[in-house]
Amino acid sequence: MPDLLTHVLVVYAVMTALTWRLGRLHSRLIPVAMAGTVIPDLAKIELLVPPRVIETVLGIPFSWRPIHRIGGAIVLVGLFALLFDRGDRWSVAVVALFGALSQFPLDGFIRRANGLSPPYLYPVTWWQPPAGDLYLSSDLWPVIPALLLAGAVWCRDRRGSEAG
Amino acid sequence: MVVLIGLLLGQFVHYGAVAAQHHDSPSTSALSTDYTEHVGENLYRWARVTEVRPNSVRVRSGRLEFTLTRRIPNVKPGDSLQIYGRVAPNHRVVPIEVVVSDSTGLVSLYLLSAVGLLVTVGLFLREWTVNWTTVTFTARGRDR
Repeated sequence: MPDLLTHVLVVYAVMTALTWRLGRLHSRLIPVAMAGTVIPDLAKIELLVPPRVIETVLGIPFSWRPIHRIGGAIVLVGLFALLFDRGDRWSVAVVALFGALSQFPLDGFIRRANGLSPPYLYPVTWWQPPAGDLYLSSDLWPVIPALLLAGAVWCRDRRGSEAG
Repeated sequence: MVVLIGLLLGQFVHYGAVAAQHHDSPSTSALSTDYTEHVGENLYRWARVTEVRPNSVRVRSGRLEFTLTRRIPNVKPGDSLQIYGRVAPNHRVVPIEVVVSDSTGLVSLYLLSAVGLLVTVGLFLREWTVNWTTVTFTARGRDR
C-alpha cells in the first residue's frame, strides 16, 4: 500500500465530499471510514506473529493474508461494527467497509516485479489483477497530492460550515 | 460474533492450505523442504539486501538466503527488493525483473503511516467515546 497517511487523507476527502451530497451521512462517520482503512493493514501482524509459529503450535496450515483480502476485510469490518452502539452498527459497517475496500484500488497502483497485484478478491477468486505500476509502496510523493486534495476539501467544508 | 470469528479463522486456515497452489512461485516452506525440486520455476519474493558483491547481490527473504546472479544497480545493504526471477541451483536466483525500495523510503513510509494512524485515532476520539455501561463506542453528545 502507499503510506497510511496518504490513504486516510484520500478517504477523508472522499467521505467529506459525500457528506455535502448525502444529508444522511453524518460527519462523525468520516473518522470511522478512516479507521476502516486501517483494517486490511492489520495483516502486518504477520511481522509480530509469523504464520509458521502458529502452524508449528497448532499443526494446521495458517496465513494472516486474508485480512488483506476482500473476504477477511469484510468479516473484520463486521466485527469492528459490533464495537459500536446497536443503532450505529449498520452505518458504521457501511462506511468502514468503504474505507477498508478503498485500500485495494490504491494498492493496485503499486509497482510489482511480476506485474501482478495480489489476489485481493479472495475468497471469491484467486485472480490477480495487473499491477498499476504507478508508484512503489516506499514512494513518498503520493502523500503530496493527497495532502493537497484533503486540504482543498477541508477548506471548502469549513467555508460551507461557516456559510451554513 | 462467534460466526464472524469462525469465518475469519476458516479463511486463515484455508488460505494457508491452498494459497501455494494458486501462486506462480514456490512458498518459503516448499523451498526449505526441497529446494532442488523447484529449480527452473519462477520465483516472486520480497527480500532484503544483505551484501552487494561486484557481480551479484546477496539477499535474505524470511528464512531463506539467495544470491542474485547479476549486479543490481544502485542497491545497498538494507534496501528492500521485489524479485521476479527463476530459481537456479545452489540458492541462486536469475533475476528477470527487480524493483528496488531504498531503506530511507521505507523508514519514511513507516513514519508517515504512524502519522496517518495518529490523525485517524485523534479524529475518531473527537467524535466517538466509550460507553462503559455497554462497552461500546458511542457518538459524543449521546454518551451517558
